[in-house]
Amino acid sequence: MPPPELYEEYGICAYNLGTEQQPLLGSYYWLEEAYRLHPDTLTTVVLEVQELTSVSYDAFYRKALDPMRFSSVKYRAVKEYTARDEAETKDVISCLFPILSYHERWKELTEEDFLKAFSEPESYLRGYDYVITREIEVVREYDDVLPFTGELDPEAGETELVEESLYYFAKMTEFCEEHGLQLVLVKTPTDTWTSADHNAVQMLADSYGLDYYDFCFSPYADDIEFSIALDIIDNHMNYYGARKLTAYMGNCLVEYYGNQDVRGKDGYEFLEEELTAYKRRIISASLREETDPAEYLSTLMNEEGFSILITVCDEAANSLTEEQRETFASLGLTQLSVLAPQSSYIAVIENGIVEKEMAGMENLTLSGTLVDGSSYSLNSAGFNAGLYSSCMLNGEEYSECGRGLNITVYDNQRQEIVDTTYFDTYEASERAPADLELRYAEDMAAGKAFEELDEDEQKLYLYEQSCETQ
Amino acid sequence: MELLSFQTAALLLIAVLAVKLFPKRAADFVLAAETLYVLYENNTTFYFIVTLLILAAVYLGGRLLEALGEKKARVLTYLMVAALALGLCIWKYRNFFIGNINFVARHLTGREPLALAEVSAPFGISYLFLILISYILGIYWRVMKARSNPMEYLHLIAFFPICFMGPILGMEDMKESERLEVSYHSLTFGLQRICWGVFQKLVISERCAVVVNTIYAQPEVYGGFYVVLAALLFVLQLYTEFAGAMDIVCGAAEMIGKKLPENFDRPFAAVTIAEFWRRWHITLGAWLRNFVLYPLLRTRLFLWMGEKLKKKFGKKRGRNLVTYMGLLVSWFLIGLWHGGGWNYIFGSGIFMWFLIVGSEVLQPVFQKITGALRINKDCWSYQSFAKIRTMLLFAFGNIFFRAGTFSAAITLLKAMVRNFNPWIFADGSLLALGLDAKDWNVCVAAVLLLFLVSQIKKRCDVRDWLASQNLVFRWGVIYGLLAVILLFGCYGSGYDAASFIYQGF
Repeated sequence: MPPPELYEEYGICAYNLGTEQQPLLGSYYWLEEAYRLHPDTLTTVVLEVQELTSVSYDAFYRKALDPMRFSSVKYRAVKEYTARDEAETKDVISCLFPILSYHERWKELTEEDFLKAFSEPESYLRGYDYVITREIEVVREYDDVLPFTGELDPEAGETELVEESLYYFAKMTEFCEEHGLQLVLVKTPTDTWTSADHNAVQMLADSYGLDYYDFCFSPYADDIEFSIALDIIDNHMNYYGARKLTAYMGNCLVEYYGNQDVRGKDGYEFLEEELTAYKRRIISASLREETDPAEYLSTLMNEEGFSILITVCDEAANSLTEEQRETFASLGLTQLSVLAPQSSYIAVIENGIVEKEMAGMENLTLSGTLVDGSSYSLNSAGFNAGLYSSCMLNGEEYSECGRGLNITVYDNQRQEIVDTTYFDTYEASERAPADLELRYAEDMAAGKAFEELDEDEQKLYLYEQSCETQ
Repeated sequence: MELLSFQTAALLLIAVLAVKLFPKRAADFVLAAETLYVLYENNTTFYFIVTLLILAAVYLGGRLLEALGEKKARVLTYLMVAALALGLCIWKYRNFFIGNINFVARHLTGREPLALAEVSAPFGISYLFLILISYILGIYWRVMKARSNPMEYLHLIAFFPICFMGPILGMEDMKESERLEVSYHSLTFGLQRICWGVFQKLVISERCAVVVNTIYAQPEVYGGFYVVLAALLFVLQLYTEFAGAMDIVCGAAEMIGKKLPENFDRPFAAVTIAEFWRRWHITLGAWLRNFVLYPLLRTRLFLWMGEKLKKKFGKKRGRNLVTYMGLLVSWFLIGLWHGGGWNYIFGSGIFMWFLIVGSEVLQPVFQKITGALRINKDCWSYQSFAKIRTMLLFAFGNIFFRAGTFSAAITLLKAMVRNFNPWIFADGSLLALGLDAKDWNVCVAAVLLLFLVSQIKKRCDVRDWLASQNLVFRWGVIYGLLAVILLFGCYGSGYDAASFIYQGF
């Protein structure tokens, strides 16, 4: 559940304190830590129940506990961790001073370690991990994705829950009761959560009198219209799934658990800034939905810190509308606004300003460096010059060589590629949305035949068929 | 409990605070208590009590000695020294004697009458008992006074870091009453020295140990030059570990103003084996010289022998021969001290005696040769050759030390001559011994630093030199050293706690 979305939709101030496969020991002590730092404003605790059914590897304990600040909470957490039989680090001091545990890693240092060390943490994400790949896009066959029914198996018993997890779960419930916090149990949709697991946790929730929202099964799965093909990647919810869940849970949090809308309140102004940074961060999702290249470029050039590299392959001028050309002109892309048919074209845009533009009938090449030092090498060959486009950034090729405008977007602040795509402006002035869900919906509404769908759409179609026959 | 541990650090911190903040009596009490704590932690209850009783006995004996007349004092002294020596023999060398008796008995009667017992002894006995003997004899010979304050006595004899590996205090070291104090100078210099010791141990010694252990464990697999490599690396391992430990111990003592004797003085600068042993484990050599060799040479037996030999071989030769025999006894004991076994007696003892005496006896012969070949002994190349030769001889002797038993040593030597495989240095075989290329690099770089520092030591005290540099350099060096230890030290999970070879002697 992206906390910034909770804020945007419902004005809830939240933070995700979970880490990868966080053991309940970690969850409990993070709860204590959260309360220690926000005793007056903390109201609700949402716990993902996956770890009740399994024991985490030792590494995940360290991953959960190492980032904690020095405090008595951390000391107690580390003490209990080192007391476990399976703990690989037995002394508290090595946990409190990670260099003592990890100094051996000097042999494995890479450039990435140094980049990470000197970059700003993305605190505006508030603990959320942003991914927009969809499961159906990465599998080879549609039936590699498990058909999802959301129906509970009436024959299933109850999984035996892990003792250590139950111990810390009990501590969490005690803590919440003691400090007047509301504990809400949630199971995010994954394809490995069984009915037996569900039953076990439901029983646990009932015994403590807690609400349990299991989004793997009806009714909650249906309420959010969840689809494994679209809303999951590698057994985790992607951005799209998370958005659906947030919409539902945010509503619950406000309605049933009395979470306040903090927008406009004193002390919460920072959330607005964070929201702006967050929206910039998730721009790739909206870019995928964009069908008009002029809008696409316009959105990007309104934001700060993006570098845009445009190369034309084959032909890109045929279907450009007057309106689009005007927009290009207003953005400063003068040569693009008067792009001739069959012309090659190259543009480099940094921070909303057109740095370089080249157009011509011959094969065009351009090399240079971006603001952050990344080196690029562009090549555009129009209809008469070779039908080719290349966009190399830091030695890697990003152009898809599709007919039309090939665009690569690079985030200077995070030094990462945000989007690589192309607009076939020979064929039409707008493209089908790059976003699979949107595109599919449009094509289905337009009544396209199966053979006319692209590969991902076909997989999705077959998948949905298989779900219905279950 | 290990010398390198958080416990030791905590004890040191307490000692520093005690000396700084408390009046003398209270500080003495704290230090004495720390000694008892360390002895308690490292002994079974039985041996703790035994050690306590022995320490108490010597304390009382020392005070008594000062009050008694000459005759009675002599008896008491002999009694105490004999008891301590006997204790050492029984606790540490019992199996050696039993083994030899059995050996003889087996050849005479076909049976082995005595059973080998499990080796157990009070912690640090090989150091503490020798120190106690120094104390007793120092009082008896009126070189020093007995300590009247038992607390002071305790932390003089057995200041807690000394219990692990010495240094073995001599009479000169216990002569003056100590004035403990903590100052900025003592703290910084002491801590610097401790860091240097930790660096040597964790960065160099532990790495060498990995390779040495691999090769020594499987001589049938690693023959030829592997054994040579292991022998040389073992010397490096032993030196950095022992000298490093001494740096830690002496640095700790320095922090509270205690002055402990040095055990090492750039040993690899020695051009002869004789000189080497004046630079390596200095306190042990000094102890044996003062309490075994000289007294022995003054005994009636030796004086009588001296007369006889002088008559036969002439004054000079005769005197030399007596000395050689005295040295033989000394070196036998040095070897025995290193372990109750013939391999130790030979490798760390008799072999060294043989080299020292041999080179003296053959000196005229060597002189004729070098004269005839017109070899210049003062030039750099010859001096370097001599130093390397000394190191190789020492390494050879230590094969017996590291191997643990005579037969194991012979196996290794056989493995060494069995193969001729110089290519192992070029074909990557060295990377399959437990250290990867990065570790080797770190080790080599660290040894280069060691060498650099020893060159500075030649000219002046290193810490004085460092203190006279500018702040940026000083801090760069100190924090750089700390960073090197933190990053490249072999410690933490994945390593056994760094223990020392000379600990538990």
